[in-house]
Amino acid sequence: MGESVVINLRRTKGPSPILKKYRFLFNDLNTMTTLTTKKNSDNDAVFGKENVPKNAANIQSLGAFAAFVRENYLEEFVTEELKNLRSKDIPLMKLFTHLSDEQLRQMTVVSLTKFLTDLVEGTAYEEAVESLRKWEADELPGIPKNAIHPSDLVLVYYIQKVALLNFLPNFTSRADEVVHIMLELEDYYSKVQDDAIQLLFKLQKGAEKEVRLRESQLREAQELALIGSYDWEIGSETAICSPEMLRILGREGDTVLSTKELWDPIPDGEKGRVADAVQNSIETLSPYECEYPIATQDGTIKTVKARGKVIVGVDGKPTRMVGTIQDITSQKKSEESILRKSQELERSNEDLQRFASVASHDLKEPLRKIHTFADMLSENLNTDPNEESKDYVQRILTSCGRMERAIEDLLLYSKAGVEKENFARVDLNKVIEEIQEDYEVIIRHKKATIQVHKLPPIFAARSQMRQLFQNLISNALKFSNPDASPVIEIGCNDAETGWLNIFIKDNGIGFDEKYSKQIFEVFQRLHSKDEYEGSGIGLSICKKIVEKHKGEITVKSKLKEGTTFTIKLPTDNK
Amino acid sequence: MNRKYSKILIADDDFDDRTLIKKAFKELNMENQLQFAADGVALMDMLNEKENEMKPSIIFLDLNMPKKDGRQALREIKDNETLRKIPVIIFTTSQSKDDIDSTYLTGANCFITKPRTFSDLLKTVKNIVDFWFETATLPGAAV
Repeated sequence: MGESVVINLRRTKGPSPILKKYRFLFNDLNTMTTLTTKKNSDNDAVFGKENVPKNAANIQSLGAFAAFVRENYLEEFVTEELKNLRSKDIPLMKLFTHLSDEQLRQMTVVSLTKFLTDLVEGTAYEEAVESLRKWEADELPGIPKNAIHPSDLVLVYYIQKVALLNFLPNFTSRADEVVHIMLELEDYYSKVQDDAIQLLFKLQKGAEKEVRLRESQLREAQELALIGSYDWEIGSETAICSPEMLRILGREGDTVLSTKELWDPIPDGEKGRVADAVQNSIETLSPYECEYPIATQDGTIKTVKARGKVIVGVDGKPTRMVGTIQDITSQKKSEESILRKSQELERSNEDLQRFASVASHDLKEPLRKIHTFADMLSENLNTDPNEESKDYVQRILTSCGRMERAIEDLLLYSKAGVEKENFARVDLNKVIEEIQEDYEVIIRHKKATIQVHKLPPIFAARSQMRQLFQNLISNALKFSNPDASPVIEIGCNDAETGWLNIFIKDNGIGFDEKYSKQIFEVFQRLHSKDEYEGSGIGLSICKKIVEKHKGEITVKSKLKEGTTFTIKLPTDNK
Repeated sequence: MNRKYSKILIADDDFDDRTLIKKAFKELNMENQLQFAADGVALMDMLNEKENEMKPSIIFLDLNMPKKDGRQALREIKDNETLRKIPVIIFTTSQSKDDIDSTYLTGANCFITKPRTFSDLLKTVKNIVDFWFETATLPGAAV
């Protein structure tokens, strides 16, 4: 690392020569710090949560995702982060070569836990700004000021973001939630990167030598993140742009662009809106943010997100606008494609639903006729001595009954867990009580006992929980041992935090464990229709419901001894 | 209300179902009192015919019919000053909760899901006839 200029910003007795020389800078920095520590809610108005889908209640937020990672994947997150940091050869890492792997890991665990907690509490941006301030004031222990450069930070942020997003599929598969959380995350990182880059420009004026050295690093960082930066003297005809910004605009060569060259790529229809946003930002001294399409000289259409901060001079009047432009074309494309896919999925679900109910009606109708006329035929035949005919008709009737039940069950299966039911706090003990009341007659008839160990409450869809337990209890009663009164035990085992392991154990006839996966399939039965009635759809409905709740259902059994179903469900399904 | 002379109007688009219900009423010696409509339009036409024509005492109404379905016809019957006093018995294969709730709300007097076997159908028809003609008191049939 070459010679560096250290700017001491601590107030000393009487202005030192250095301080005098950089006084304007000092003022700017003060202002900039004030601007960055402005209340987050002010920033929101312009940084705007407008890009974030406004669907209120059910969408998971970045905070919830961060909590999820912190509780479940912290170690993996740390591993991923360290792996990426090592593979990118960041100068910052050279500071830690004296640490053992274990020490480095511990340090990362601490810092990432703090980061996740900050996200949960919504203070992540403020904390990041505070860290930047500390670095700037040379207050970070073990990390001298001239050791980190904003470009290092940009790389680190990028790596952190990629590592974190790795766990998003584990958290949710809902497209709208994925989009929402990714946007929130982008928002956070863009803001922080912004500040880091602007810090660079601030110091550029006083530390040319250092800057030239770092420029290549910044270039690399910008290329990675597809962010270009600009520095515009308000009112002047030109602006200084970073090479990445040139690239985004589809230009080459001179890093000083005329305002015309800056504005040309913006389609005429959008120019007004962008100009208004810039003007508004300058007049109100508030942060600038605008998303707009551009067309580069070779005709490529891109979408960019521009940000900026207005720098005021010593007299408090706006002098410069400094900021970034990010190419978000591919991001927008994936957002659009995710949204489109989710709409398609919804439409196809609706289609399936409609198909299921229409098909069932069209299947049921002729079936009903067959049944009715076969029944009438059977009546006629009662007076006819031909036993064979009677037998044939009887078989027709039995098949009719079976087909009717199969259609009903298929409809039930297709509907299970599909209706948009609200998740709420469910008292499972009460649900089981209700089921016991419904099955009172059978329970008494079979002299069955159902022992329930108190189950903790769970966040779920009540009617689906009802269906789930009803199917399992009904099975336990149905497949009971003829020699013994059925004893059904329901309770829960220890599980990892955030999960419940509920078991339903019976002393019934059991089954060969090699079928333990098969029995959850639709229409799977292990016995002939003469031995036990039922179409074999109960357990597949159970599986569907459990999966809808992001849980898991498994079974263990022994022939003649009994069966135990284990349901793993998350306690919170927000 | 005299069971022998009252008219019973059956609205059903299905030929088989009309045959079956005719057969059921035949067992009760009432098949000559039946009138049939094969769709909602024919049904409303029959009901709105000449003013002095005697209206039916009871209507059996299927829901799924072409041209105008039973749900729409029910609304029109219950909106009509003269027709709405006639008891309407929804007689359909549908078991949907929506249909059951909405038809009662519109003013249907009864909702019955068509039975699957003939003997059940006969029992049901007998029950309906016994109830509406012997137990309940029907409104005046003449306009």
